[in-house]
Amino acid sequence: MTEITTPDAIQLVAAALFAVGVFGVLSRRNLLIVLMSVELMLNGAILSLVGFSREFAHLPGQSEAGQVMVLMAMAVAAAEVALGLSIVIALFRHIRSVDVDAPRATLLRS
Amino acid sequence: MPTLLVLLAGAVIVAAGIVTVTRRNPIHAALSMLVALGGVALLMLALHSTFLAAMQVLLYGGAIMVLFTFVIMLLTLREDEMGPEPPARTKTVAGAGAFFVLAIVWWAIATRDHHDFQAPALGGAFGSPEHFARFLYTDYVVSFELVTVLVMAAVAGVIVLGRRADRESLEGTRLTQAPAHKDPHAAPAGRDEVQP
Repeated sequence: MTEITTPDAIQLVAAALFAVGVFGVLSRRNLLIVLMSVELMLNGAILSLVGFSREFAHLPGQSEAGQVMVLMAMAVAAAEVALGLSIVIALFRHIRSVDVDAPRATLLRS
Repeated sequence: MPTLLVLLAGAVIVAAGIVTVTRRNPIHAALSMLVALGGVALLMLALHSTFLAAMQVLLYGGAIMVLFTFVIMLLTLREDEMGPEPPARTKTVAGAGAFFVLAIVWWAIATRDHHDFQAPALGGAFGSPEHFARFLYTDYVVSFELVTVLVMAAVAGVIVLGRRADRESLEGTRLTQAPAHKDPHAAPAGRDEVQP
């Protein structure tokens, strides 16, 4: 096996974090945990961008473009969490449950 | 940063992530997610992204996690309100899906072009707040301004979602044509009562 370089190690960690988030989204039924898994996936993507930003920092015109993207992604994540959690609260008020497979939760799907 | 340390920190991050997605108690999941977010901030520091590491701690570790713990404590879920554990078949399929994603990304990483990689020598300014801010407010100022529109939309959405669906919550606001025959003092009573 060839030796693993540091940028590849960063990308591997980012991909693993993303995969853990995918597992959480697919397997859990608690809406709060599903939201946390989405956050983990976003963090994996963010870590990947930061890693590439460092790796290609020496190219002309490329300095910190990835980091700016990460800052935008963080703003999107903050807005997403605020909206997602208020949807959780609104759903809980209606059906007294945060189970995504609860019978009455299907009104979200129509 | 040596590769071994990156992998070590990555192991901590992934372990905390796995704990996050497997715990039944949401507060345990939230706390282990905090560990994962802190690990990501550490890796950002190692990658010379000091400003982003600070933002990671403040925004994710501070604002977002506080929001999560606040909602967890607001709801105080009972066991039956969280739904049953998913069957083992669901977990198997989810694990296969996650492994599939990891395999694809790892294949892309392993086969990409490495020929010109040498750890680039950086000035001390890379990733520093001054350097970052100059970049953000010149080349990317339009997207920065668009983020404010996004945040405004999110605020509007949260206000709409946080409103009670019944008419009484609109009482006294300009959104409703308040019927004249209703007693205005009767509306607030009982609005905040705790449901059983």
